[in-house]
Amino acid sequence: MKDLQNYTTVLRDVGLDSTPERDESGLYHWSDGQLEILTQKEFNDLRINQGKIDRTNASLKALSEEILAFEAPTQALEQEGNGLLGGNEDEIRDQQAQLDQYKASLAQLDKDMLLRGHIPPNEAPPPEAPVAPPKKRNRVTGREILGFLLIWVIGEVFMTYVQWQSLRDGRGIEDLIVRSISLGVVLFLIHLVGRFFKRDRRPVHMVFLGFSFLMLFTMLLGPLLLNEAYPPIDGNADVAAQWSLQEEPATTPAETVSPYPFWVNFYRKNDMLPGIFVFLFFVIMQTFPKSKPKEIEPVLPQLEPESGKNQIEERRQYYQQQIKQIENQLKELKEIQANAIAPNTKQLHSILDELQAKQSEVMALKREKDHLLMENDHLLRKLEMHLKRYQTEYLNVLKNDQVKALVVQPVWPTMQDLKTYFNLS
Amino acid sequence: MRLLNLSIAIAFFIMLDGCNALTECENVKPREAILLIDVTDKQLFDDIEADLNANLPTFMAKTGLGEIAPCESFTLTLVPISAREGLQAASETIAIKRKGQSYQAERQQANPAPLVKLLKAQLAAFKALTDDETITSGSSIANVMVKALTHANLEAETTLIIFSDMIENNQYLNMYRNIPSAENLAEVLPQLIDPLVLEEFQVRQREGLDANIIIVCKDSPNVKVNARQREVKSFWAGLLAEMRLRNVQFMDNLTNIN
Repeated sequence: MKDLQNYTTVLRDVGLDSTPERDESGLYHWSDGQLEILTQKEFNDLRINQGKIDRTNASLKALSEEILAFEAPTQALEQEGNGLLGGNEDEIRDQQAQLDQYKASLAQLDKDMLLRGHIPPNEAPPPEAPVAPPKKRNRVTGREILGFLLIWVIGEVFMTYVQWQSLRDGRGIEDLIVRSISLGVVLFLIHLVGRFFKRDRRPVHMVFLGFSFLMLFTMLLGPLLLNEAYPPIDGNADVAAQWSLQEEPATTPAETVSPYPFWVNFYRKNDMLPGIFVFLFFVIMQTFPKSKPKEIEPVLPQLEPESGKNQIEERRQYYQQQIKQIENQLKELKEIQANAIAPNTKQLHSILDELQAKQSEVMALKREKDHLLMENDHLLRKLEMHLKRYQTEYLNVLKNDQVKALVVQPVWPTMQDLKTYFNLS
Repeated sequence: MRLLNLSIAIAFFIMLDGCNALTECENVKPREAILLIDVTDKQLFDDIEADLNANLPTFMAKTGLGEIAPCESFTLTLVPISAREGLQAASETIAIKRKGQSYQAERQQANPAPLVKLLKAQLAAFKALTDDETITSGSSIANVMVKALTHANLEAETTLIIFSDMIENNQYLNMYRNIPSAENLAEVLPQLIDPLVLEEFQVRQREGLDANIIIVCKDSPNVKVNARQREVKSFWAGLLAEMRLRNVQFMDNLTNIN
């Protein structure tokens, strides 16, 4: 439909000799059909947008001028602030240098005194003082427990096997358990004190270990040797003899007087004694307070006489007072400085805030302008497309009319012609 | 460290306390031997005494009657058989009341010396009784036997050993004159044994009383009766069977034990 309308328009323009052309001054003259295209409603926005762009440009220009206008007072304020700071800055620098010097002197004095064995009063220990390493917790491992149990079992089996005959004959189950526990206690205490000894080599530990090993060997080998030297008496009862009515009532071997020395019988009846001795030794060793190990007195240099000591203290106090005084002065100077530049800083901050607001405004205007330019560009492309279509139809019509084609020489518009028509920048 | 010492002491105590389960006897199993010794005739008693002196050690060693293990006890009771129907018993017990003791201690506690001592003392006393005419004027074997069994410990494994010629001679039965036949035993039994005693015996039997009975049947001083010893043994075997005492052994002396 649009193509038909376009064709009609072109046909009319050709018929009425409305030809697009450019005059000698370079001004382009639009044909009626072209003007109809240009004056279409949708392309009115080109002029409106251009107006907006012009206004935006004006605003941007005004804002740029305003921003530039802030430069002078900002610089003035900065200079003024620097001037105010400069007044105290030298004094503060001097005071700081003096403070550092006093502190270094005091540290040196303390270090010297420490080397001479004099600990400064009310002072934290020097950082280079040796710090006791955290004690490693001596955990009992499963392997140690297994080792202990294995030795106990082996020892017990050995002892029981070696002296079963004499043992069971003279000892009840309770006695055997007590004897076994006794061996276990000795082994356990040897392990335990062995650990103590590794950690803290006290002579008493050494004595205990020696004694315990002696008792352990006594428990293990004593019965063996005794059985060899004094074989146990076979006390099996003769039932027939016991029931004899002819003789005096039979007595059991237990009631008979043993042919062996007293100590043999005593040991056989009380072979848990070594374990008890070891246990008592251990209890005594652990119960009685430890004798404090001799403190090794550090070899100190000869201390100065009392008067020298006082002088050192006076010097320390002097340094401390000076340090305190300078620190106060420095504090005051810094406060004065801060108070002096406070109004300038405030003004400068307000200017900067305002400047930031202006810059934000400029950015917004630029974004708007870009949007308008993009919209116009789009419209121009569209317009150009319409005009090209018109041009094509026009040339087709001329192709069909040989006479007109010889007379009419149409000129086609450029983009600049379009911009000129709409007064676009 | 004090905590360690305390822990060791507590562990020690607990371990020792735990030994009670190993050494305490839950109950002591009793055994009892009742010796009925006929004192109605001096000659007979001498024969019995000679048998005891010669053969008791072998008998005890062979049967193991007086041997006790841990948690066992053995009681020896001696009762004279005489004209008197009353029970004059003297007892002594040996026991091993704990287990897990040393063998030496067990042997000491199992030593039958107190029993032997009692036996000796009672034999001496019984010997004196043989001179007493009131004692030797008759014999009530059945009554004494039933009374002895009635007073036996129900829980015990009881062995009754009778040393006698087994000639009952009292107001109810005189075996010198007449030995009842097997057919008459049911009638003889309530006459021979006091009905009250018999009833009590039967009650005890129902409660579980049982005994091994060994009859060491000695020759009677009366030669005539001796000739009928087979009948005498038959009578007693029948009578004891009537009393539901089935485990009965006859022997001439203690060496004949199987």
